[in-house]
Amino acid sequence: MTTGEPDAVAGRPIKVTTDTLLAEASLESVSGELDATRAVTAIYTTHYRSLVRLAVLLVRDVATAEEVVQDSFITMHAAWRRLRDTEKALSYLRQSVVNRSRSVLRHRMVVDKNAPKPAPDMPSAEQGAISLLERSAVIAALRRLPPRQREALVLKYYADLSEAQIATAMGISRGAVKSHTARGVAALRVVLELET
Amino acid sequence: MTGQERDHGEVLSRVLHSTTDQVEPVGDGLAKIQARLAEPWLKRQWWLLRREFMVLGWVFALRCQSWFSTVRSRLAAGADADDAAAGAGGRLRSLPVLGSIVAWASAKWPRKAGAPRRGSIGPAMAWFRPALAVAGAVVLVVTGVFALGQIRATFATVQGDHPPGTSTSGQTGGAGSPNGSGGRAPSPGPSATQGNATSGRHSSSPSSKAFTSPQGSASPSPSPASQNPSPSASPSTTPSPSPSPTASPSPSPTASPTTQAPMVAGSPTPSGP
Repeated sequence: MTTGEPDAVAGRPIKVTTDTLLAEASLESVSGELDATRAVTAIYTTHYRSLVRLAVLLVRDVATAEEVVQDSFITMHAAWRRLRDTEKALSYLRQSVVNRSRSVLRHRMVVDKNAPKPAPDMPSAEQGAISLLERSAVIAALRRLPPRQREALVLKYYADLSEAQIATAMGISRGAVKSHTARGVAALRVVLELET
Repeated sequence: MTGQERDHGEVLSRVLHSTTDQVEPVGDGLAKIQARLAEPWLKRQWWLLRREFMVLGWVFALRCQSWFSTVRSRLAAGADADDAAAGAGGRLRSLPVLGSIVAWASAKWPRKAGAPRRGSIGPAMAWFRPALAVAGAVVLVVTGVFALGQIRATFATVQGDHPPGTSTSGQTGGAGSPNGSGGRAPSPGPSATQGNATSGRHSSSPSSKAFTSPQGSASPSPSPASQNPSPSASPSTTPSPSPSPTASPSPSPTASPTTQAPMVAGSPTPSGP
């Protein structure tokens, strides 16, 4: 398709073809891609470690936590065209980490339910990975909490998020966040009083 | 929040921070992320969905274990040809037509006595068909969603090329320059050309009309519409229910929206100063 239009300055017709438009579109796409890559690098530098630690508290395994966070960065890169803002991207990353951690736990539950039981004197791989975290009685008690309560507590007391941010990250209402947090703290009360 | 709750919160926060401070990411995560971003789209998506597929695989393998053991035991036990015919008809009971055909074929051509017999799976397979259907549906939905996402992304990229007036959403046209030209040259000529190209390519969007309307208002008369009645200006290309009031200042009912796009496109009047 070719269209002739008068040039305001010279009065000459400018030929704009579909090829030109597509070339501009691909340029735009390339620049968007560059933006996304730059954003990934910037957010990685500042937040990767804290996100991994957050994921570790949820999935209790460093390697899996890293995988979860890396997957989240990949999806954030794909969604950058929608986000275009570091704050939004960080919120998206947190939500993605929480969702993927849930997915990991679901998978682990299926595997644990159906896998053959190991010999009694042999610790499982997961136990070996989390032994570092299990040294604390509080962490051990946290591990025994229901997943939603654990997520709420970790997001509140580790990530220092507000109730609204926790609600966004967990995909629940603020009231539910309050309820999960209160129940979680109540369940940990005995252990926490020992720690004080 | 009571004082005791605050204390508990502080303790919890301190314990969580002190525990996770010992956790350090292993290896270069950024290099891994960049390597995966360089991979083809399909591989990336597969990688992201692998965990769900792994769960499905686990369930499938576990279910198949009982099925395999049933098949093995039945094969070992053996059965006569009548059982096989009845089994074939019974297995396909949920598909009445196919089941009756199989039963009829089994009755018409009975198996020879010495012929090897296929194992009758029976109720052990009852779960298999719905599980397969669900798995197929999941795969179809996931593929559709990702394909749709790709198509939408492509459209968003192409539309992001247009000025904000033509963009269907603020996110693609949001990076426009303050003069509203969407990062293009401020000259009115090219912008008119883009509007023209837009109306030709994406004329179904009502926002493209919003973009062309200022130019329509700049042209004093709708008479070029009658001079240049392009056959491509069909009603299907401009589904907007009402004509833009700024595009056609004349009260003449002949200035229908179907002719506005070509009118603006072919208008020789420069819209800018």
